[in-house]
Amino acid sequence: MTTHDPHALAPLVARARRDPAFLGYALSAFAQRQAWSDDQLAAHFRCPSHRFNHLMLCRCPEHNDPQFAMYVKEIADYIPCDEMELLLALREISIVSAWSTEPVHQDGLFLAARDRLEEPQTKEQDEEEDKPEDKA
Amino acid sequence: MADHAAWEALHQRVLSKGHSVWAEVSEEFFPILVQDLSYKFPGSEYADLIDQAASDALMNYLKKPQAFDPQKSNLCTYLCMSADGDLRNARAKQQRREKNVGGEVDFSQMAGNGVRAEEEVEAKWQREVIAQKLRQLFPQTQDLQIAELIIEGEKATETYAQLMQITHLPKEEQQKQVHQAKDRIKKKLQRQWDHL
Repeated sequence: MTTHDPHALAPLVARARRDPAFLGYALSAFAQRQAWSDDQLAAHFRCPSHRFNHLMLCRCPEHNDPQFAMYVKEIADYIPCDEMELLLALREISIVSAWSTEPVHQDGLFLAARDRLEEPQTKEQDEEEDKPEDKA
Repeated sequence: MADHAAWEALHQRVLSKGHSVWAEVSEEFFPILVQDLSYKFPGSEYADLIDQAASDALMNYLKKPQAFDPQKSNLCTYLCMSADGDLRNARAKQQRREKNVGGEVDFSQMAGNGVRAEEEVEAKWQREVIAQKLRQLFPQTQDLQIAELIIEGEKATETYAQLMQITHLPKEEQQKQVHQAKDRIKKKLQRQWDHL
């Protein structure tokens, strides 16, 4: 098979960033969460820059799949990139997305999710939680 | 032949839910699809449609690889035909939009041409009502697209064959299937018109 210019894949990668079936979607969300550029993201995963588009075009493993870790290893071996960092990033994104009903890559979502995690509780909420449970 | 064997191996890996193989398929075929479409549709005005059609063809295949039958054609031919069909559909839609609906009504231009804006708005509304009726009459996308082509006066069997994704069949078989499909849809349209 022939080897092609990785930049030729750019239009397809742009689509993959908007499609949850592709790794590009989750990794774009992860980069947005860290406020990282693509170059920073590639460096984080120790992914060679000419293989970054290929990473984005891989199929995204389902986080609840029993073979999740094996799929991450398959991708990391193929690209090549840091398997553990990729696994951690995908786990983080799956947790954040579970917090929201909105798509994970939209602007503001992560701030909203973080707000929900970090929002200081009101006095009323504290009192509510301190109440003993009602007994039937 | 080496490529054919490699493509078949890629397809088997896609079917067995490989994760890195999506990137391999993309790397192998996206540039080929873009090159093929650029040859068929030269001109910078098609650049975006070409990227879109090539992406659609690949993404649809990766998500539904079962739709490809290796007995009928090789993977490259299948993807090229799929992208070609997507681009023709997108182009037809774009042309219809430009010709019929014309986007937003340009009141300033109408005033210059002496055309009454209300009439144009009314005509646009009627076209949208007809489009809605067609969608109700033909819930299946392919039938709707064939109906739209018939209404536009498209005569070329090739256009219909591409839409129906039967270009891999012999010409006579294509003509037969296109004729049957057009006949069926024309009858349905005729019945609806008579009813109105």
